Amino acid sequence: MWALCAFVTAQEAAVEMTVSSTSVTQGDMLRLTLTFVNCKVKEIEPPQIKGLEWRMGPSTSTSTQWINGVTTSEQSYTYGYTVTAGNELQIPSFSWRTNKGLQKSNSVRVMVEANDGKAAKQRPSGQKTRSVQRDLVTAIEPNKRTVYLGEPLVLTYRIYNRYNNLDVRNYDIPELEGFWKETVDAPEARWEPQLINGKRYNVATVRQVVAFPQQTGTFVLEDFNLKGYHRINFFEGRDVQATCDPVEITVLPIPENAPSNSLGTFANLAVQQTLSSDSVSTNEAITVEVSFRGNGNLKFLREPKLAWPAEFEVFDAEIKDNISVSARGESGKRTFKFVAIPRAPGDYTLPPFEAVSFDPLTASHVTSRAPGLRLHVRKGQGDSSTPGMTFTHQQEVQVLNQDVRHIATTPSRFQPRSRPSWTPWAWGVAFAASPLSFLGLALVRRRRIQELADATGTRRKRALRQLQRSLKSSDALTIETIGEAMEQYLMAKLGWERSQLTREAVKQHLTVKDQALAEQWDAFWEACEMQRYGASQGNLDALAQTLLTLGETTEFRWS
Amino acid sequence: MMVKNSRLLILLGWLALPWVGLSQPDVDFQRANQAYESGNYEEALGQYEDILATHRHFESEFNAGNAAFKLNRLGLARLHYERAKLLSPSDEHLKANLALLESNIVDRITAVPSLGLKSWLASWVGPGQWLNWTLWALFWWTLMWVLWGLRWTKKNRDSRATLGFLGMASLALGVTGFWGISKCYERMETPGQVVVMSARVDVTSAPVESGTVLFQLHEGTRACILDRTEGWTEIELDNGNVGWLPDDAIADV
Repeated sequence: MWALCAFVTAQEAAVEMTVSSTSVTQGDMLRLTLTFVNCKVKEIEPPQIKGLEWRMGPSTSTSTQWINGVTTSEQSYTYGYTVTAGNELQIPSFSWRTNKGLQKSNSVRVMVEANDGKAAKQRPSGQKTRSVQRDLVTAIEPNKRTVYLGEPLVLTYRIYNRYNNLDVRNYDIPELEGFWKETVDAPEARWEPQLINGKRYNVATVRQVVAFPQQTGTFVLEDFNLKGYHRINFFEGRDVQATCDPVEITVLPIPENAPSNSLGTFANLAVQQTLSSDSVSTNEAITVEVSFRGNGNLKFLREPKLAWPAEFEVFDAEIKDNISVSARGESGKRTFKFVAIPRAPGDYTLPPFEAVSFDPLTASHVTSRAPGLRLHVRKGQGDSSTPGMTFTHQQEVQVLNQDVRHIATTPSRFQPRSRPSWTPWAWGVAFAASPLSFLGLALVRRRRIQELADATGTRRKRALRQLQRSLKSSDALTIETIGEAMEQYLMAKLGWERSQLTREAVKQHLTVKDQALAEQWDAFWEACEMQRYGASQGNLDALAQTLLTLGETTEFRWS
Repeated sequence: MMVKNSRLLILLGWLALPWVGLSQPDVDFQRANQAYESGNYEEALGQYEDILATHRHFESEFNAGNAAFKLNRLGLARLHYERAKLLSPSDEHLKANLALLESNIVDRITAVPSLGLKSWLASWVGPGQWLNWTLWALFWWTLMWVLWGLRWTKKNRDSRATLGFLGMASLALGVTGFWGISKCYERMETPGQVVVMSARVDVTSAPVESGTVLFQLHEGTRACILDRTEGWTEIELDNGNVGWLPDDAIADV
């Protein structure tokens, strides 16, 4: 900004001293201009100024104006200096010898910032100062660069312009990926002068947005581009473009110990619960309002789950918003208005309502509690329900949570993965048992059939067994039993009938086959006769044993 | 007399040896249940898996699945539930837990409509059905021989025809039992399904890492085995998609 240090009338002679900037950094170039109005200097040298080191000049210019018969002439001398002072710089007034006599220039005060880097950091608008160094530039200016998930972030889109005649053709507001945004209502953008780094800029705020980050991480905001036309004069002009420096926004996650019922990120969230009346009749509607007040995206709040008594019929909540979006963020109140109708008399209590949220100001989870509500419901007039009758309004059972079924505690049989080596053999035997049994039975049956077909042969085969059975089965052994057993054996063995069986016939028949055997049988027959018809009784057991032995000998020799 | 009694005791002890041995997993099972009910799911899971290393046991598989579910290890939970399903396919609690688990895993697979005969048959020939099939086959096999034996003794033509028909029917049922036994053995020796154990794994078109990635599967998804090569398994999802998975990302059911 050009500093105007003196004011003179057109007719009066004067010397004006101006500087290119009244706020400079140590080491910057400062232009100092001496303007001789309505006078001419006779001799001029670069002014020696403490804190400034002369570098160049002078460059001169002369102009003459004639307005309403009054002539004003100006002669300017511009010098270039390097600022060496580290603090405030006071350019004193100088006396100049002119054709209109000795004229005195004004003094100028210049603020100098030390060039040690530290000062730049202390500047609140350091980023802005760095970015605004060109004649036309756009900028995205966040109110903070590190936010928590869901914490509101105000983004201001500005255009900095040093051109006198600039037509802004269009500009692109970039999309905000990963953010929910609300646009701040603002009047139409207009240029406002602003001094930045000692330069005068026209600044226009084209949009303000309240952004709510929905993802964690680092986001780069850029591509706020502008296209315009700089009109140099009536005939000349050129297209100009501007873009903004990227702005990094870091979104931090909410600390992991967030309660499961957390509503999100809100600053100073307060919850309130009100009841329209604390005493009503049955079937008379009541209104319960649950209000959330605070800063943050209140539009994200969903209908709260209230613990209604089962005797209440509750309708869907009506939402009332009083939310303002401004350059300070989003704040206000969201109210959920429930209409409920108690259907049965009694005293009811709505439990306290708790709202848990993450407060980015304290970086902690905070709980706001609304006290419980008490309601007395009288029996209404015309209510036909009898005393003690309970409310029969039914509703579907609400599934609140899901979990796996409980473990099985009664064990079934444990099946070893490695079975004993004998197991396959055991199963093999089990499976082979039935066909083997079948085979055995078949053989037995076949044998039986064969025996039935050959009665004589079968009788012969079983002669000894029959003999043994006869001798063992008799309780009291007598000579008749022994004799009958002998005859039965011989008949079976020889295949004879009883009529054929005589002692002589047996002897003759056996003599042909076995002489010794024939004699033994004949001796035994005789012994039996002696026993039966003799005077004395012999040893019957020995006789029976002899018969058995004789039978076994016969079986052995005839087989 | 004393000698005879002592021999009898030794014989009884020898016969009871397997039953004495079975009581140890029962004790371990009760201990694991106590750990689960006290909220120590990690310890309970380890004890159930110790039992399952040496025994096939539906309740241990089911409970191990529950413990893994509580630990949010959905792949392991699915694996134990699927193994429990092989032992007792119709258990209602198991069906409920599997449905809940499927709603928690990432992949939702819509099965291709089918008659369901294959899956129905597969549910009958799990490893847990081996003893049932063996007893079934033994019963009908034995009955067949008995009927044929009876038929031989009958002289009445109608009786012989009836017994012959019943014998053939028993033979047919016995053959189904032998089929069930063979399938159970086959199922025990060669697993038919896998469960994805990695958080996310690429399914490729060929059993090489450079194969085209066809789709991705996530922990807890079950697939049928089509083929196997060194380090890779070809799988088919219920929706018909087929691809190859590395063996280190899956576990056999």
